[in-house]
Amino acid sequence: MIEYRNIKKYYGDKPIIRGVSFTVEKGQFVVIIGPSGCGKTTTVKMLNRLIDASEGEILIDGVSTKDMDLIKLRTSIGYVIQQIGLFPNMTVEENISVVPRIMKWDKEKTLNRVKELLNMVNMPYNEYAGKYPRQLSGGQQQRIGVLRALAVNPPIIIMDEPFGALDPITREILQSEVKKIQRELNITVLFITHDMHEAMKMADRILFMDQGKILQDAPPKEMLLHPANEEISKFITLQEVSVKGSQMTAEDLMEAVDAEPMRDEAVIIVDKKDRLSEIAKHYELSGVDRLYVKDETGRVTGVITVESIIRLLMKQV
Amino acid sequence: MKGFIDKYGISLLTAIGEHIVYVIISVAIAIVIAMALAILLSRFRKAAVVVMPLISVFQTIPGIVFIGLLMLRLGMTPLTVIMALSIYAVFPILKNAYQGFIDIDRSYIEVARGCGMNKRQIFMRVEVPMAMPAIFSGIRMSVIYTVSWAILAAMIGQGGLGEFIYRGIDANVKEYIVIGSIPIAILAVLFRLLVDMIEKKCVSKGLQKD
Repeated sequence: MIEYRNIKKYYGDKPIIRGVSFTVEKGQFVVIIGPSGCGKTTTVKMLNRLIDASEGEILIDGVSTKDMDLIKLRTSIGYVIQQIGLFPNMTVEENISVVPRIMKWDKEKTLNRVKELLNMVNMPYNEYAGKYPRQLSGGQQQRIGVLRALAVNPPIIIMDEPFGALDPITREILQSEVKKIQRELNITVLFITHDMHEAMKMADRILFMDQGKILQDAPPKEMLLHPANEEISKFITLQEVSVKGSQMTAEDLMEAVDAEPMRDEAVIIVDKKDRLSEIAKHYELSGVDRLYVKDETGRVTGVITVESIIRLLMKQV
Repeated sequence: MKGFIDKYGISLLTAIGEHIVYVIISVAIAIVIAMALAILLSRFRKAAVVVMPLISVFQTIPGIVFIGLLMLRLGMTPLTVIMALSIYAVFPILKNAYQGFIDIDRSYIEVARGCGMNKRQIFMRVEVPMAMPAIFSGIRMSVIYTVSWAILAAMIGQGGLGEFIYRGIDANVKEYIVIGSIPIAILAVLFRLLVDMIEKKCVSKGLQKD
């Protein structure tokens, strides 16, 4: 559990962070959002003490970060940043091994971990381990950046606008991958973005910051439906985020069926919790005209077709 | 041709040998000094703002004047030559290496810190490898300059290919000047290739152009 207690930061006399307090439960995905210059990056960098707070303290599992060994603190927090996070002089393997090396893992353990991680994102070891960052696409680089942060299984990961420089499709895919990994490994994530769509998709909770303060701390839907003030609702409208679009899931869109799909057609099955954006992607990428929807048990319970979406929209008009 | 070899062969080979030795020793000393200074200055950038221009002013003193001054103090020995050449060879390496260090994007350093590297690890694993291409362009320049500056050795009677050139100028014999100059040009090319080869081995493939 992470606990920010009345954190303040001054540069000279100028207050940058004006008393920030919040807690993050284990396994929670918290997104900090706000206009540039609002202090979100500073806030997060104080967690691994890249920046020291002027006042207040941050506790991790009840222990103040000031009392922790700096190297231990940092190796226990994965760190992913935008774009140029990978060291260009190191291969993919060396980049992923950075933290294991600091922690003096033996060669075999490190190698196994690198293989395991590359497998996780479908980048085969033999093909990619020896490549250098400049030989990878932006999306691949960012995947490796995430793997490097995951290497020693840290309980906490900081992500500072990790997908800001990617094209929309790659960004969507990486968001889904990261969210999936985070859920599976039950990692606590502090994620910075200025993209409300991204925040809605990823977050369990969103902190909206402006001018060094938290203006609202709420789950995504609540922030959309009840923005705490003018500032936030302006930010949301500006980015044209709507509950109807991005919060709609496969379950909302499907028509119930109980017949299993025929095995001879190319079948795409989506999860009933998948959001509209993911479903749209499937349509785009596969070119099929119907998607089947499964429930938690994996049973097919519905089908989505263009007609079913139109029918639903008609009902809402 | 046979006549030429009989006449100049031995003295030319000796001169080339001396020349090569001067270049290698001077550049080696210069690399050590320049790297130490570059590392120091890149850590104390406020000092660098003052120091770097001073050194570059010093660099504009003609070699011939400088070697003359050194000769007065140290006498006409090979040591004088090596000292003068080393000092001149420092600057291109220092300037490039310093630039190489300060041009490293701060976010790399920050990520390295965020990953938990200490200062020494950041220096050895991130800063030095990333500055390597710049360091090598400095060394390359320095080596090529030193090959031509080394003719100054002859000015105080300490051999090298300058012997032929000065003799040629004094006696107005074009032959001598050509015999001295051609090996210098060839040496410059060979040294350059040597530096390129070492660079290929020392610089990470991730920072080299295909």
